[in-house]
Amino acid sequence: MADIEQPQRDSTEKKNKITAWKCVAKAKLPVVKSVLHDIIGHLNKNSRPCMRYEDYKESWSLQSYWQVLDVFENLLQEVCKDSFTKDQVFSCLGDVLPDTYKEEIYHVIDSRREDIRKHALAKTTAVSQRKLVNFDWKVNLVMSSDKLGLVQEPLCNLDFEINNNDQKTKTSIELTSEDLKTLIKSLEAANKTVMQYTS
Amino acid sequence: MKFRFCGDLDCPDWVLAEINVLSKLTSVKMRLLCSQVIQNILGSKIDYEKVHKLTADAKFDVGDIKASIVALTFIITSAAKHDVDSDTLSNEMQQLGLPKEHSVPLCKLYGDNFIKCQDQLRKQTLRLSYFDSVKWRVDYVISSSSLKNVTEPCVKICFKVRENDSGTPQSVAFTLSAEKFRVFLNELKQADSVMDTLNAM
Repeated sequence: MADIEQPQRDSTEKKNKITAWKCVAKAKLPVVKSVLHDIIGHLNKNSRPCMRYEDYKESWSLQSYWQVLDVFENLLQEVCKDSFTKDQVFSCLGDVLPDTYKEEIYHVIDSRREDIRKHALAKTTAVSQRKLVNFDWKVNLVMSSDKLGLVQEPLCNLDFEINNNDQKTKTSIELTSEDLKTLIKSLEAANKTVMQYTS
Repeated sequence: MKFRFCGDLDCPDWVLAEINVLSKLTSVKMRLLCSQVIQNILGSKIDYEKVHKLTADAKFDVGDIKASIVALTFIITSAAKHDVDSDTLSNEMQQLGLPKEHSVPLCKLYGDNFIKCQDQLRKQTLRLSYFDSVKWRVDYVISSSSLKNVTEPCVKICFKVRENDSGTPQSVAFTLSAEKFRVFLNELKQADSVMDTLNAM
């Protein structure tokens, strides 16, 4: 894209947007609503691979289907930045769509406000080098070892799955009962601060 | 014959042979040698000069000294490993041919240090990693590129973990949202209560 001049690129984008909205307008209203719900439902999982083209193949060709997804994802990105009003959503939707469509799209977005905000929050947390994706724990009782016949000591295994620059790494920590208590005590103090600032 | 201090197995032949060698020491020297060996099991170094002097009367050569230290170490750690009390150990040592005046100081020292030895062995039990310390920081996020008004806290945590008892600690750091942090802490508390019930058993 580097060789295309900025105004030229803007106009291509605008044209693409208009064709996409035209595709949206071509489909029936319930289909549009369902595709939008689908996209919002899969926002956290990077919607594309989770959605099935088969569900929408009667309304759009594959190319238009991608365009529709693009235009809706962009729309969601734009409106979710702020606590959006009806007018803001309408202005983002352009002039191509009939008002009934705009009304319904706004309705869907409005009803899924909380989901969209959650997604934006998750994205905000991800703005950092290392993000905790998942954790698991298990408690085991050590029965015996080569050093001691009867150990009888509980150990807690704590696994972290950390996303570091799109590379997932797994780390495991073994904690004794005392370790775990120290950890909880320390994090309890952090929790106090978190509770204080949670809206 | 089966011996409890060997985990209900036969006593290894080399230990039998060394018991003969140990019988050559006087009981006082035997006590001093045992105390050196126990100190070694508990983590301090053996004073080889001293051991050499102790065994000079009995005309031990270097091989005998090494072997007797290893044999005593085996007897004491194996007995502690299999939770054998000092009276049983004394009996079994006499059955193996160690004179009573030798087995009494050995078992007296063993009995005195039994708990310490077991603690030391418990410490040496295989561990995959050791928790060193934890550091945390709570951030209050005001705004971001994907959301204009965030106003939510997020937590950064850094664990220091060692791979072995004496290794240098490695950092494991990550960020998590306030919601995930609460879940995390709650899960840890659940794990803790499970461990408490296990400890109380």
